[in-house]
Amino acid sequence: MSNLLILLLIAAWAWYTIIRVKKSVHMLQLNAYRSERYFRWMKEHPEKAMYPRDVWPALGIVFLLPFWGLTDAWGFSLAVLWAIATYALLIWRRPKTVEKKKLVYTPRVKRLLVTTGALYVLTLAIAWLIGVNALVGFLLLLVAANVLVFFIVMIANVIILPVESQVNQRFFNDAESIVESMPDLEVIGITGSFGKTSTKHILKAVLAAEYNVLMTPESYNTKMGVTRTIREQLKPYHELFIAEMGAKQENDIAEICELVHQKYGVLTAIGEQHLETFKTLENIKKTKFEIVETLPEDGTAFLNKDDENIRAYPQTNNCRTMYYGIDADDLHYRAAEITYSAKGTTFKVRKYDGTSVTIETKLLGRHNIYNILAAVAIGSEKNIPLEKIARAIKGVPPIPHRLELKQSSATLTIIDDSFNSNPTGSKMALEVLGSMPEKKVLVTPGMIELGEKEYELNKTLAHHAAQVCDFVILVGKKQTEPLQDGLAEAEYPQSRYYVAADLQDALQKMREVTAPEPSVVLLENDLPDTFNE
Amino acid sequence: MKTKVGVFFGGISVEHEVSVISGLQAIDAMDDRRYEPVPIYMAKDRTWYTGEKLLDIEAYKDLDGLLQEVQSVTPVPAENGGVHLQKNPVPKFGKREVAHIDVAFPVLHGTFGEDGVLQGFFELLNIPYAGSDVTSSAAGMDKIMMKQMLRDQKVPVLPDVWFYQHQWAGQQASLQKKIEDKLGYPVIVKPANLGSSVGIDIARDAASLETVVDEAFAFASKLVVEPLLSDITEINCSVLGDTEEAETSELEEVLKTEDILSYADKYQGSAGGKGESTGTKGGGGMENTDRVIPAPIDEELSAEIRRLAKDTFRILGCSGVSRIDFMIDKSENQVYVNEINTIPGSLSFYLWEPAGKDFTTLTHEMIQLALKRERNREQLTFSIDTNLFALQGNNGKGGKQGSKR
Repeated sequence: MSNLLILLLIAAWAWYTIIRVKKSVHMLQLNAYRSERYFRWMKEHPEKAMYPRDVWPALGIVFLLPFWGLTDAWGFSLAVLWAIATYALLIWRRPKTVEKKKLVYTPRVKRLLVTTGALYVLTLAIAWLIGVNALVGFLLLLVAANVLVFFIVMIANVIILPVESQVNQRFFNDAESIVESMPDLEVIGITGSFGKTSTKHILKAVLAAEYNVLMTPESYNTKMGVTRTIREQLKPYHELFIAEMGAKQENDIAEICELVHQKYGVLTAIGEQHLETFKTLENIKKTKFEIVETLPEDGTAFLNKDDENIRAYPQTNNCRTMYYGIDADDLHYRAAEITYSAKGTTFKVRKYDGTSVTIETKLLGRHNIYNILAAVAIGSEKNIPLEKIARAIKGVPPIPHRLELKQSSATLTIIDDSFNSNPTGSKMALEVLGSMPEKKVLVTPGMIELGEKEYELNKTLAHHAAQVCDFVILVGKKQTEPLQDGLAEAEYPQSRYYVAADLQDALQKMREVTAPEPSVVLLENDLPDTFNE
Repeated sequence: MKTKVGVFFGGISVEHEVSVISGLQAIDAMDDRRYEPVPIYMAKDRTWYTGEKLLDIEAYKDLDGLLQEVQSVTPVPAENGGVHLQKNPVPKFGKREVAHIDVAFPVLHGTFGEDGVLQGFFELLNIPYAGSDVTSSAAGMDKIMMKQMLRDQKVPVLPDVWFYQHQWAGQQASLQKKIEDKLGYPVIVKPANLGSSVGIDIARDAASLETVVDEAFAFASKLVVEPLLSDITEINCSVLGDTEEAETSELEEVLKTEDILSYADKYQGSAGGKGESTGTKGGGGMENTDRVIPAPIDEELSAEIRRLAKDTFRILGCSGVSRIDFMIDKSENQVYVNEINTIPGSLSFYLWEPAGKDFTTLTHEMIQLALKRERNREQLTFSIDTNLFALQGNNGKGGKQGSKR
């Protein structure tokens, strides 16, 4: 009888434990199996990592107290029954949240689950050894195993770390041999502090005009991401592979280069990102330049010469180097005659051999001109005629909600920059608006979540807006106070701005002010998403 | 790594045997440094087979024996692109796939292979494939559709009268009158959508028209009637490329209509009978009695034919290699487009060799064109990433990437 009860208890406990382990493994997966990130998440969400109710089953121990006057057998049975009942309740009433990204049962997760399972079997064995008679110890151990489930999974993660790094090494080797087995494949590496992803997309469109091209999807820009792309998506007929390379610490770029042996290297810009791991700007420069320094003799580097950090770096590899830019001297590919309109950006690219081509694009902003220049330069070095390159670029769509041009009606154009909410981006968006020949209108609720500087930064935004806009619509009375103050400081006439109560009000006003003449409206920062027109 | 090219041949059409020969020729021609051809044979009962044995033309003499030795397969989409050839029936244990292919290369002539049906299957499998797409294949196969499209773009085609079986049954008299008024006798009656010469016959008067039409309805439910030109020269021209860029081959004059150079001709160097593909050239050389390459016509006419061939190819939206057949009415010195073969016999390699492009280069360019079409398509939007059903009852909620589009 008692053995049966114990078995039932173990079954109930195991069931509940499986639920808890799955949850923890899921969180570990979302934290990229990085114990330190996982631990930080636990510290930030203790209520999700440890449930106080997990101790309920242990409360059955009270039945063993002499105070009830029960016999040992009765007390024991009641305690176990209580524990079984509470486990059933815990299973039944477990928090069922809708998961945005489900747990994916990758081989790594399976190995992790097996290891965790082994740890639990070990726990159970110890519990059993302590003895059924010492029920108190037994129950406490089971309960502890539930409460500490997150730590147990973490221990399992640490235990299998050497295995995982071996597995990864095998993946890297596999990817490397795939690349080696394709002698005609040429790899183009792209790195930089910003502009990597946009450049990658534009470049893909350009090269696809004549070649079979593969690029790393989304933001797969780590060594593992590049490896996965090669193993899963590289086909024997691919002629060019565009690998985006991201860096969080020194040597990150060199490691990916060693894997793919890039023939072309693009460096878009160098800025102060990830300073906490890099420590100095010098380290950032050195790391980004790994893409150039590891190029083979017959390789080519493509560098943005307008970037002062790139210009200042003492490059030692004397392979062929192509410079692109707008302002710098001695450029191989130069953008000139830049004009913005409600249709997009138009500019001329002058190549070092004297030829030139006019580029028309729906993409806006100076940063995109650099991204396009890099793509034009590589496409042209790969012998694609300039006209064909221009045609390919014309078809490149803007990224949704990032300076996205939308023709709303014959006379009204909207620049949707609602994804953006940082001061640099906002300033750039206003520059774009300012360069439009049409009537310029700004609709914004201001920027939020900028911490203590929020007031000042919004005021600065208002100062920029005052210089550029013909009309300003602020959405929300209270939250746009810093902007109102800023406009007043800049002596912007009250007749030219309007504080709307809500989005409906703002749209009403927008239609009113844009009705009489061709206008461009900049939607800056996140507006409620009903904005479909 | 070599690109695995699934070469599909055989099929459900009167040109089954011709297709086997064309398919094996293409496999033989493929550049083995770049490509690894995988033979995929479609039997007349619509089952697919793969296996080394299929490469041996002699083995087809004992077809039942051959099919015992090769693996029956089902093409299924693979997880990361391309297609797996899954064993049929699917084994419970062990490996399910016999082979993987990256690109499909159809060499099936006629119905179910050249008319867009197989191409539609490739579309659903989501694999790049050589040759024309669904629409152009279908338009190229249907004589009426093809002529309507060409006529609309001022490409010369013969006048015609066309009708369905039920129309003939109900309004025979008026259709006959229409034929007499518009075309006069003699006329040639053809099924609208058969790739070969089956069901084609000549009517010299009203009485024979009735017989010929009735006979032709055994092969198709839609017929086209054209005037019969008495004094013609037949010239064929092959086009390679796509709607953006295309080039033309050498021209041939056909003395006796034949579709293909037989396997025996190519590999055994002797004229030999092989069912439909009777030998068309002797002694292994390119000289032969039935066709003259290059066609003995003047430069001006040749230039016009090349231009019309390219126009036809572009108007129908073709890709890969096609052969366009022309008729020249000698009495009026007028050129007409007669028909298009979107998968021509032997892939017209014999027209490309004298134009300086060997069969290996031809297959290579066809595969590259298949990949180019795939690239161009990647830029297009096929489905909108919004579930319209999910939008119902959405009371204005949704994140940044939510319902905002």
